[in-house]
Amino acid sequence: MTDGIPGRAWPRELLWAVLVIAVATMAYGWAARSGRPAPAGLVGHGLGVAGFLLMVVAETAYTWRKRPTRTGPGPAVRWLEAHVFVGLVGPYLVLLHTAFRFRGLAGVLTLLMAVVVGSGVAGRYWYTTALPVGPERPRRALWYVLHVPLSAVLFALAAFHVVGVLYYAGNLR
Amino acid sequence: MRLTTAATRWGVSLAVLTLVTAGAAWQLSSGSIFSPGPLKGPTPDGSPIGGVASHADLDRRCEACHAPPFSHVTMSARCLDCHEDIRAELGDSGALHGALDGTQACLGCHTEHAGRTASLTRFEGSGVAHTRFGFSLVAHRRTAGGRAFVCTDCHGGRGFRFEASRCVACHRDYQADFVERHVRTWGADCRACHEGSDRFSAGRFSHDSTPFPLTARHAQSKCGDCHAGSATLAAFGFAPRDCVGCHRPDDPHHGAFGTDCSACHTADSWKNARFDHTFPLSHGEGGRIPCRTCHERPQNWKSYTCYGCHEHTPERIQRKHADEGVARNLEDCVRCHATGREHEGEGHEGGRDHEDD
Repeated sequence: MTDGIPGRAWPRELLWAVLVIAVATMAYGWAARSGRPAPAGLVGHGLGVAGFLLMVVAETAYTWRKRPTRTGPGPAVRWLEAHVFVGLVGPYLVLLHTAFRFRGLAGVLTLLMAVVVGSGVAGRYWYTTALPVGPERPRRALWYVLHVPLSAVLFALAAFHVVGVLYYAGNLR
Repeated sequence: MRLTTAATRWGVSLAVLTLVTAGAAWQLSSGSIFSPGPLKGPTPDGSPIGGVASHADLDRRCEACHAPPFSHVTMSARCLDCHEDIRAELGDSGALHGALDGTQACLGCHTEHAGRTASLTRFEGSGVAHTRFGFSLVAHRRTAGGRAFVCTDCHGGRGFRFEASRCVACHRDYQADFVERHVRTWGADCRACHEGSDRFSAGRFSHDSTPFPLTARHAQSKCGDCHAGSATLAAFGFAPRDCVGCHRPDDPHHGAFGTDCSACHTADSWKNARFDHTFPLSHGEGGRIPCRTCHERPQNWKSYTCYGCHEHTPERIQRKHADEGVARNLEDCVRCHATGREHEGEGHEGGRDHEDD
């Protein structure tokens, strides 16, 4: 495994993410052997809550650590690796939570999540490796302008989704 | 301003704007932006209930079914506000909904938002405990074609009552010949005998009412173990009642001990057979001896010989008995020596018997 150095094989955070996603896929396949778990069911809700919490952790922890004024704990690159790992696994669990039904606000949220994850992957593994540091590398990269603000929008909408679910599905007796 | 700071501030502003926009959308859409899927559309035989032709007409009236959280009003109560026939059924213990224990919410069995044509009743994992109605769904999870059962496979009509004719219709699809014979013999009221677990139901039929009550290990038998090939009621009555009727192939004695297995065995197990040997097996050497020592002909265990032991030779026995005046029945030693003791036959009985014979 590598630390994501250009020209070398897959970085370890990606390998771990793929491994966990594979395990989650198998578990989901087992749970879905008689039909996809409904988003509002026990499995569906579990996936949604777990994925959302992972995304919140991925966002807040790395945002807190990457500030230039902070020097620890641990090197920032490890926090970035954890950010990538959790930022891939969390959205994947949320994707399973949707039962692949993208309607209304939930559909907007899923699309937004895909843009945030895609921009993050592009920034981490294309922008910082394919483009050399220098005049050719734009300072205000598109991926960053998308990734950070849209993350905030994503979390705001996700919280709104949770409020809506609690309102409409909080009294199903 | 650093890029990170600018992006974060830009993001926070966008998030606030998003929340305001989403809140407005919530109000303008009457909550339908949270809808997880379309509501059920009208059915061909449906009639308007509660002023709407189907749930689909409630697409933008979430509050018609969804009671606010922390409210004393429940979703089930809102269902019953429209479905008055179900409310009436709850008071009839003979009807499907009336037979429920009354603690379940409608959502325990019914669902929505699964599409215009989707079933509103969830069969698999549903809260309807069919065992309460004397029927198990153990053997009715999947149809012969592999799809999940839906309620209308077995139920229909007013009150969603069970319709026996649907059993035959479905089973005929994949076992036509058997069903034809079975119905011709037994009739079409399948539940008179079957309770769904694919067995001749113990709860509805008691073998104790037959000349052959099933006790001990026999109670674990499957019908086909004894009634294999029976396709008529009369054929069921002709199942073997004696042990060898079924167990002859299992008989390690090859019939040598007769057919009264219960003389030694019980219905619990073939092992631990109890056999009272009339002749003491330890009379000579103080221990057990092989059966063939005395019983040289296993096809007839009543025959025996005492010459299997070295002390007994025909010449010696003949000579000793001649000295005592006994000359006949020397092959039937037990007649005089019931305990196997050497001098047991001496005296009045032994000598007289032989002489009398």
